[in-house]
Amino acid sequence: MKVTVVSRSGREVIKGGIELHDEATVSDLQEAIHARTKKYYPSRQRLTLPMQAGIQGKPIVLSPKKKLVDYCDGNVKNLTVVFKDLGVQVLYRTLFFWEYLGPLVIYPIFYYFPVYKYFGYEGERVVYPVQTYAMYYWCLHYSKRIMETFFVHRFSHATSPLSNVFRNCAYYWTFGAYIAYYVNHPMYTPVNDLQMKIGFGFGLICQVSNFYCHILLRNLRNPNGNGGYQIPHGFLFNIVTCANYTTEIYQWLGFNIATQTIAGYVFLVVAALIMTNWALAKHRRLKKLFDGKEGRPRYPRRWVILPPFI
Amino acid sequence: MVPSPLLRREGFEGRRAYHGVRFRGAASAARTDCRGHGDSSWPCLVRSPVSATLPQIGSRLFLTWGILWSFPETRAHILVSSLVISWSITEIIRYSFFGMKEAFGFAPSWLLWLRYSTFLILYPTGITSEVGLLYVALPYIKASEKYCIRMPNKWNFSFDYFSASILALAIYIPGSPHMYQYMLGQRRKALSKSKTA
Repeated sequence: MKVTVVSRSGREVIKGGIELHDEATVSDLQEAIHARTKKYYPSRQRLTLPMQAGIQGKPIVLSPKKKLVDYCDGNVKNLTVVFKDLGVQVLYRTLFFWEYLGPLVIYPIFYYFPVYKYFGYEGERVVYPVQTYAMYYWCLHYSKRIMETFFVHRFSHATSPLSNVFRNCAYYWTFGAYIAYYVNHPMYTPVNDLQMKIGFGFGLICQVSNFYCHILLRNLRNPNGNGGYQIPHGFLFNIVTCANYTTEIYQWLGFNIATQTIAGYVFLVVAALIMTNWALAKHRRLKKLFDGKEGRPRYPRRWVILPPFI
Repeated sequence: MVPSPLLRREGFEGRRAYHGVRFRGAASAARTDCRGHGDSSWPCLVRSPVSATLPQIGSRLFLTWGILWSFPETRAHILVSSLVISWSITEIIRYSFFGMKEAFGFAPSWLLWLRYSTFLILYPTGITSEVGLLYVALPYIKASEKYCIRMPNKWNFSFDYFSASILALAIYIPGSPHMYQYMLGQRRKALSKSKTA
């Protein structure tokens, strides 16, 4: 069959199109496009079916594992696909590694080195126990994240645009420095001992729960990378769709209860908002996919991310 | 500033512009023309993206309340006149334009042209006035300690208004070209659409 590859403005991206055998998959097409264009490796390509004029809705994205004939509506000798360049891509592993490395390195700098004299605070500073525990807790958290990135998580999309590296690193690194500055400050005021213990204790329990949630999510996905969605189940997932985000948010709450800084709470609120956005999208996606029709199970009634609010 | 009869007169003009009819009220009222997103999840009056309206509203409120109202020493500066003139002309044209569209469903082509052309001059004059006044206010901000929160405190928080103002100044560096480019793009779209209409 002949595949015509056009850009969104209608221009032919591959002159003369591409000839492929009738049983070819989308992945084969992507390889062929890469071979012809050199620059556009498969993870950079977004291939969709052309939109019908006047019809609303999202364009249908071609899935790499499916066969091209599955997208042909009748005419199996010709297919037109719309090509979009997603820009330079990086592996999600790479993205996560760099964004988490920042906080892991930056926070201890504020703890160990005399940075505050550059802010005008001369002299020795007294370090409270809570500040030491906070540093261990923080480093444990980000080390855990990096470990999970390499050994636990299974990613549905292997890559992310390069621009996200800058955006995400700015977010994590800036907040990391912002919080580290206040918790390790020479004029830091600690909370009482009981509050500190409750905060860190609760936080640690949530971190362990969060790790377990990640293990459960990993085991939902097939090791040969089908990437298909399953209804999450087990442990907290029976009550809330995105239990992993829930435990993450509560884990930060624990940290803040123990360290009590506005900076930490601001970070908590922003992170919670971002995760809630993701959770709503995931919940909606799962409900739409598992609609109870055609033999598919129906998605059970569950909290989205933060019972009893949402 | 060298005291001279000319400067003193312009200082008077600046102060008069500041105390002019409903200056603070009008600038603050701009807050109500919140922006419209593509997904319209918020009720809105204006269909512009956040990245274009938020900086404008932010800078208006900051200059009006954070600088001019908070530091009376700045009100005598000539840049207050240029600021008020730039903002006023822009807003008169802009709101007439929106008002006509809401009330009559269309706006005359000369008003469309004004809306998408006066910014070519008024953005530079307005932005220069804002940046200039910010800069002029800096020594007063530093000396007064106004709005500053110092450590130690129970919530382990601090805020330095002087540093925040420097940051605001820094934002003008990428912010101004961004706003200008945005309006240039809007101009191209609006004026070409009216030609084909």
